Amino acid sequence: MSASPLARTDAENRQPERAAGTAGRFVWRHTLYLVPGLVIYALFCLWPLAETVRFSFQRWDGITEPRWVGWRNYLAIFTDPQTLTVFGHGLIMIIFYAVLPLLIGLLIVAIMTRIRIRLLAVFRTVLFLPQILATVVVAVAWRWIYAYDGPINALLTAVGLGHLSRAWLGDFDTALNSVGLIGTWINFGLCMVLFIGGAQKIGRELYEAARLDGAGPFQEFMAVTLPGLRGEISIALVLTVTNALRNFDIVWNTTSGGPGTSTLVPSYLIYEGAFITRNVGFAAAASVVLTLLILVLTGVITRALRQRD
Amino acid sequence: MHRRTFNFMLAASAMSLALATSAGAAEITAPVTPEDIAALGDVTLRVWADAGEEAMLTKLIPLYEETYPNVTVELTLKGWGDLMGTVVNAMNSNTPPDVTNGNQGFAVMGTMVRASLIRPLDDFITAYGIDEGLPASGFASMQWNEDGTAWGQGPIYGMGGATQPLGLFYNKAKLEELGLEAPESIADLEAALVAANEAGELPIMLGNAAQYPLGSHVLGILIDMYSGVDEVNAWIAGNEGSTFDMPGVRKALETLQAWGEAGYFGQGYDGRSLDDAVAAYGAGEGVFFLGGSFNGARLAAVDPDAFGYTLLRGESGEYVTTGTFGTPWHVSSKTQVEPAALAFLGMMLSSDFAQAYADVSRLPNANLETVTPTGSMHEAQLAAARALFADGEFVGYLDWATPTMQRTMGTQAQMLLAGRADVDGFIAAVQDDWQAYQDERAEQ
Repeated sequence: MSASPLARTDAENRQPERAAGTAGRFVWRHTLYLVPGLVIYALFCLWPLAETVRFSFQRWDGITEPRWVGWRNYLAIFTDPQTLTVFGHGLIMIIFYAVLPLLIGLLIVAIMTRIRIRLLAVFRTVLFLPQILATVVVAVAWRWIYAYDGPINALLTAVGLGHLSRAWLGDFDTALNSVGLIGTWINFGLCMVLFIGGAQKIGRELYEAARLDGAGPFQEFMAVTLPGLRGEISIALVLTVTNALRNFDIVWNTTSGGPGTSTLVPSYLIYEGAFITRNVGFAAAASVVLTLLILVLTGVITRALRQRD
Repeated sequence: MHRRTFNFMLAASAMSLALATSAGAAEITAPVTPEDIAALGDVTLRVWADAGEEAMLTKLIPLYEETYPNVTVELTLKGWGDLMGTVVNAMNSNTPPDVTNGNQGFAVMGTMVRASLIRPLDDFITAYGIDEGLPASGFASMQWNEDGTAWGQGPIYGMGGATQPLGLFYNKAKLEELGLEAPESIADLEAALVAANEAGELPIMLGNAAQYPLGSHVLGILIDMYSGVDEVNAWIAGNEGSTFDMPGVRKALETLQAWGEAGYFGQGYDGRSLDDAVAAYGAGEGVFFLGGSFNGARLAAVDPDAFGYTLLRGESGEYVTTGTFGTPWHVSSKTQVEPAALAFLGMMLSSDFAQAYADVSRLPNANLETVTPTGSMHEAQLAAARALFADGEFVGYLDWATPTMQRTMGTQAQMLLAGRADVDGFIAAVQDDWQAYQDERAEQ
């Protein structure tokens, strides 16, 4: 079909629109481009995930023939008060790993948007340092800080509060909070860096407008900074809540879950089941429950903090 | 396809298992000869070991490679926890270590026996004369039924190089200051603890941050003092009708609780690691230290004569203590270089090599009578081990009872001393753990 000059012009005019139309049409063979990535993802992510779910219905020592036990492992998780407490500890960790770092991060940003800080880059680097240190190093350092003859107790004794001194990680009343505070120290740097980055994107004119309207530091923070950081807060919470629930290395290197079971967390239970007590089925079931818990919580967070614009 | 792949994998593993079993079926009647090993050609012997064996292995490996020049030893050292978490899976892999350290009890040795991952060593032990002069009861924890569901009888699947009885370390200078003799019995010890406490000394150095060794070793020593060997061993082995609610156990728990209340362990022990405790004890903090003889090597390295070591006579008047022939060594049933693996263990466990253990203040099972000690503490340890071998009785480690027992006892002991559990609660929690595992075993 030969096209008339007019038609050609018409066609040329519509060119961009048509191009867009072609790109939008679904062409099956294009999905082939996804295959290499999908294969790797399936092999290293989806397949182990599916296997974990399968194991969770078995009694298996990891070596010999597994036995199908139905929902027994899940039943054990939800009926054993001990296991439920352990999951409860995981939730408490959220306060220390996510909520406190978030608040500290916001406080630092609130100060920095008001006051010009000299050597900002140095401060930022120093405060971010805990995030990049190996957790074993962090744990060993804190074990020493918390020790009965460590600096915290020395300080307490020096100011006449010697009666409060104790082995902070070895005391039933303080161990969980002490472990949690290590998490706060690790994670607040991450929140801070995310929020500083976010705050720099907020237009100066918004702050100026707020000040012209007579907003004080607090009102300015609530009206300008906080809404402007919604996206960063969402990211920070998703990362830190996941960290909180997955927390293993700090507990492993400080208390091993003790004293008693006061610092046992879900990941520790999973590790013990899979490698020490060789109850792989139970460990798998606990992993599935933990994964679902993380998915639900992070889902709620991202939904609640979704940008409305 | 998924299912088919899986079936194929199953079939393949079944086949390799069958091959492995047939390969391991060749029993030996005499020590492996250098010719047998030369016939292997240039080979590598993979060895996995606990980090505590390092000093011994750095002496053994050059000697072995010199004797068998065609074999290269590839050594992997791991910390205890790491080793326990990985050794079974490694032995189950297609390229397992040929020789490895393991541990007694259901979780590690039991699983490996059940899955036919390790070779029975009875022929090796007879051929090399490893059991000569050793009390037969020491082998119980290495013997398993073929299903790997019960231990105490059956083929021997492992053997250790150095015995490590639990005992009492004492600081000689401090005892002298206090005007005390070294305790010989639990009654002596109790009196010494009172005296030490009154003099303002820390009676017992303990580092229990990892929930160990309070609920395992310290309690273990006390249980040994008040209980019959057979009833405790029967309970650990999971014999039907056994219960943790024994009068001796009760008395041991009451004693432990009383020691806690009296402040004999000092402050902050649950926040101190075992390593730090041994170091602090070596530096002169604390009069006594209760634990495995293996802690002695570190103390002897500080000062070979500053500390003493003794076993205690229980209420029966006998030396009774928790101990074995040491951390077991195993040979993989899949090894392709079995003669080299057996020769390696043969050399390690021989009388000729025993002095190498003694040189690092350990207590070799072989030649225990004649090795030269590194100092007076080591000499005392050797004397204790000789007495135990001659007419004492070995009790198993309590945590062998179930895969979760280490955690249960460690937790309960901390709770008992913190006043958060009582003796009845302790016994009930332990017995529940035990019963649940026996039910589990019955299902297997």
